[in-house]
Amino acid sequence: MKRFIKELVMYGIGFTILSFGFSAIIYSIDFGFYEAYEDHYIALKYAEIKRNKDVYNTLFLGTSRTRRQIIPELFDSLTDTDTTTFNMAGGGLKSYRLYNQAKLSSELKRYDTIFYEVSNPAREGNVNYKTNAVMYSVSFRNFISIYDYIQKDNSLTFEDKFALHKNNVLELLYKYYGFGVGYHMQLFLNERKQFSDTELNERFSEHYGYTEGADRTISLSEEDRLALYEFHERKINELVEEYRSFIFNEYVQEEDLYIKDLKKLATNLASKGTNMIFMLPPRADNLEYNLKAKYYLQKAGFVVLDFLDPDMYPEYYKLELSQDFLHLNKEGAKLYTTEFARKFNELQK
Amino acid sequence: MLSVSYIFYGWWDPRFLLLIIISSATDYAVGLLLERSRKKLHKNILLGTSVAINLGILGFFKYYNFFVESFVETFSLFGSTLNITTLYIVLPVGISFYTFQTLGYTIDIYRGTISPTRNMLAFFSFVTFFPQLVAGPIERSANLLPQFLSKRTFNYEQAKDGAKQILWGLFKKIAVADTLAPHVTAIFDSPETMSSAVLITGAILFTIQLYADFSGYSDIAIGTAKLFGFKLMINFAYPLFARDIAEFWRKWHISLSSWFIDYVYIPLGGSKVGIKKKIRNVFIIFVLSGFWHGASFSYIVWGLINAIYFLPLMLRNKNRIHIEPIDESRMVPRFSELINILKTFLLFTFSLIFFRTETLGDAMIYIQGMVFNSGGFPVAYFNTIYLIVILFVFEWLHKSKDHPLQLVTKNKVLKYATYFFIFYITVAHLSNAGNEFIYFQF
Repeated sequence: MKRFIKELVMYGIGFTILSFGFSAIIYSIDFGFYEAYEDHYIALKYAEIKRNKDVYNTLFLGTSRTRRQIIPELFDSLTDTDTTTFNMAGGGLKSYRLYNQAKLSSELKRYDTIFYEVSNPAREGNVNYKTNAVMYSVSFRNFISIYDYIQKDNSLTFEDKFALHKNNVLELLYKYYGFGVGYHMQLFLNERKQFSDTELNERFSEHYGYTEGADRTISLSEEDRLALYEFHERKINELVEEYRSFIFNEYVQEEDLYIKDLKKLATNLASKGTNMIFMLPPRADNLEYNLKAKYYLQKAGFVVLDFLDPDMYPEYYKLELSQDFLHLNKEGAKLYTTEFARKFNELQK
Repeated sequence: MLSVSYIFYGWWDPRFLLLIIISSATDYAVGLLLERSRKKLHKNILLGTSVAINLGILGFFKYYNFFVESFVETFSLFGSTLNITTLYIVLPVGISFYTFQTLGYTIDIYRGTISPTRNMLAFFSFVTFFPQLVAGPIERSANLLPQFLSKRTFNYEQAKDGAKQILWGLFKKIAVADTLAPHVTAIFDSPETMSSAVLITGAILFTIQLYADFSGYSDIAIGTAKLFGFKLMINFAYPLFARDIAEFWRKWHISLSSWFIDYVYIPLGGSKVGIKKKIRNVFIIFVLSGFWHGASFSYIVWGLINAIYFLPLMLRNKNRIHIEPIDESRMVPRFSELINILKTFLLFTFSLIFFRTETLGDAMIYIQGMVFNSGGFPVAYFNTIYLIVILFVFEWLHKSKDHPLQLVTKNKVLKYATYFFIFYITVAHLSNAGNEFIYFQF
């Protein structure tokens, strides 16, 4: 029995090491599988900028706070330069998924400007590491970068750090133990994902990637609706308070690898003639990280458009302009896009 | 072992442990009483009691709604309306398997082929042995029960072989069956919208999925039993390489088909009766086999079709012409063998359309679509082909072995590279896993 268990453990360890090696090799062979891995909506957006690469010259990349708050038609109508904008942002599209999107999009053509929303690189514990989209953004390099961020973010509690480290390790193990290799292997034999012109036209011909948030209060009773508004108002006030009481200290807030990656990417794009502008939309979900990134990016000479300050932009913290406590509604989006275009015009002067 | 088995089964739903205990207790007691009985009448009554209780439980949980609905439908044909309500009955996992296993024990004692055991713990463990409890193999008391009664010691070679067999079973279930499952489901869910080529592909993929799923479970069960020092009967002997339908049924779900032969077909006279009775006996066991799978006319038709395939062979005395295994020395089959294998595979595949679809109407729509629907060739399904190739190549090269990881090669490096390859391919497809074993529903 002892011999059997010993051999079982030995082969288990050996097979695990080999699995990591094989997976790394297999994943490194990629014939443009991005669209097959990404969420359908993001893949559609990528297909749209591929299809109309001669049309668009400006991209917005970010999370739902960009997707629901930047209206390309309005932006283009207000800019002094000849911009033709597409909003590439997607819900939950953070950190290295966003980073990949920036890299791959910029390989399609030389854009005049790419706006990039800054957010912290670690995925929360509730993000499913088994999804193809998340798995595609996992790599040994990104694992170290996320580890570095978690260690350096002072706003995180011990429990937060533990949960983020756990998620980071699970992502790496899941991908490189080989659990997703079957999908990758099947992509070699699959037909390439095709999106019909009809579908792309239906989705993007009117709003160019902007999506208005759905009204989630429709089915609620008056009482529940009021309770929800109260909840949003309280959370918005908390965000305002957090901003006002926060003191940034460059000696405490160390630069992490993800910020360094962003700097490299921006430098690289600049060498190709693309102006990469970072942005911080109103209502930060990680204020400390946003301000830290702003500090180091600006220090390196990059532009960061910051809309976080509730005293400078009180209208972005009004309940009547809110979809929920983190997002603006359509009226708020119009206001934000207008102000964004104004700031962009100033930069162009 | 008994407590582990009860925990294993009770994990799903502890209420149904009571059914297993009733079934076990009935046959344990009936077995002992049968030994004491001297009169034929008493013996018959005792056997009848066991059959009534076991099949009563099975009948209630598995067939009650089917009979009620059929009864109401039959009356409606004559213009009468009956108001008998059907019940929402959950089918206990593995009930068809352990019922037949425990029933077989009582019948063996009745026939005098085995003596009853007085060791209650051993008997209850035999009925509920966890590796094969929920989906077989349906064990014979003569094989498994003595293993509980004798002292077992850990056998390194057997355990190692068991671990390899589990690995092969996992490969079949996770990499092959679960990867094919979504394709098969998509095709069978909307046959009206699929082309002939897609529907034909879907039927073929389902045959492979069912084989990989069910035989995969058997391999895991047999391999697990080996780790504990038990030897279970073989349930699948590479049936997809059978050269005719008679050979196929000697190799597919062996524990069930041999159960029906031993306990139904032979008592009815088997093939040693006149032609009419021979035909009747064949129809009885195939229809019963179909009905065992579930309360649906589709399963009965599936059984009938296989009986129709089998009868011409039996009536021309050709049902045992492929008793000898395929020539081991040949890497590839002879052309005539290949044709026969393909023919058998396609015949079985056709019958499985009835097995897979929920109603006879659905099966007819599917078959019509296979002939008349227009559309393109299913290139999309090519992405699973490498798994099917691995399955068939390994099984073909090791068809004389209990399982394909009893590798023929003596080269150690090649051996361990192969184990790793199968391990890795299995792990690589784990993200597809999550489907229950198909035979859990029976």
